[in-house]
Amino acid sequence: MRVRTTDGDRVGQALDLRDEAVEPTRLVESIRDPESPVVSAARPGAVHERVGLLHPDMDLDIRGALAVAGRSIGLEAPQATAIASLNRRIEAIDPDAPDLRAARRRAATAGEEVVSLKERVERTSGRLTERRAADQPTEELEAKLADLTQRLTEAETEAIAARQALSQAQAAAATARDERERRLALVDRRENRRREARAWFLEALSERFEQALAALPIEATPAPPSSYDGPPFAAALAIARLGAIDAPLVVADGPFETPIEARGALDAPVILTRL
Amino acid sequence: MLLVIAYSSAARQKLRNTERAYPEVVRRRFGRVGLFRETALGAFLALRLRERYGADVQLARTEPLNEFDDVPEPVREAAVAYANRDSPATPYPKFAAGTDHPSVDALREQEL
Repeated sequence: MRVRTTDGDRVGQALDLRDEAVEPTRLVESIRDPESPVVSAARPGAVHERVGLLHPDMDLDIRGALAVAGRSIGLEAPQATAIASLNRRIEAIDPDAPDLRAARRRAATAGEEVVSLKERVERTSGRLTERRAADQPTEELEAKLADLTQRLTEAETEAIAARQALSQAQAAAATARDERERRLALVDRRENRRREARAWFLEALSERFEQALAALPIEATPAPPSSYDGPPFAAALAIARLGAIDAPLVVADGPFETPIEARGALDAPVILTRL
Repeated sequence: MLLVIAYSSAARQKLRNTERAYPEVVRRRFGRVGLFRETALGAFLALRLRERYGADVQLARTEPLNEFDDVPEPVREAAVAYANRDSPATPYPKFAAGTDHPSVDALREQEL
């Protein structure tokens, strides 16, 4: 790998940047960014996402990280085929997402228009009756009433059309929801298989995890991952050691004296830094 | 009440969180289905879910069923008679045969 620092490029598989002003998180971002001018190194894989940045305050999902590390060294859980098949079935479902907002608004507006015109027709026809009773001229009001009645008829036609359009759109949405429901059931099944796969990896890598803990210069008491209750940092170092990692690991405030020692212990390219 | 149904894991999770944050609004929740109180806050929370998860959230408004308004009398009577039948093992088609009670097909065809 090659890393650009303030005093020139540093090249090698085990770099000591503990005396450089570099942010460990920035460094990891650069490793993950293929366009970055700061670091050029092997592209990170799935294990790197979990344990690419190792430091004493880190959090870790041990089960998830172990599963990813197990896959990186070629192990396959018995659930792998089922998970792949569920993935294909889930991806094949592409339900419509009809946007009913416009249809709902149109139906509501049309309904309001009908109500408002009805009120105006009633008021106008009331006034017309009064004027007739009082023997006053009515031509103007009659014309107005005719116009309002005409507009009311149009509004009612529009309201019927809008309600029909909305109910058609709702029927289409209901069909799409059947698809969504099927997809969610498959997603839930896949999540169950994944959980079983993580449990399988936990068991399959139990011994290797314990051995990795024992081999590292850390205080954590070696234990199988199922009963491990030490710091996440130590577990992450152990998982980094047992996984196959090509991209550089960034270790901040780690237990290693030299980058060479770290590279040997983690079996991956390493950059030592400080938080 | 406002009926909220989630159709994705993310929407379902958010529905659960909504129940936790506003237990007084979410009157009932069954898995990925929630019934929200009909207040402006209930509507706000329901609309927020739909805005965020789009077609993965279905909203409807429910109301109590008044069978005397909405359900034809023969249907009501058939339901009462069938629920109170003497032989619990009799399936409805057999129960209705030879009586004035509507057949299953007739019930299926009739919209409320």
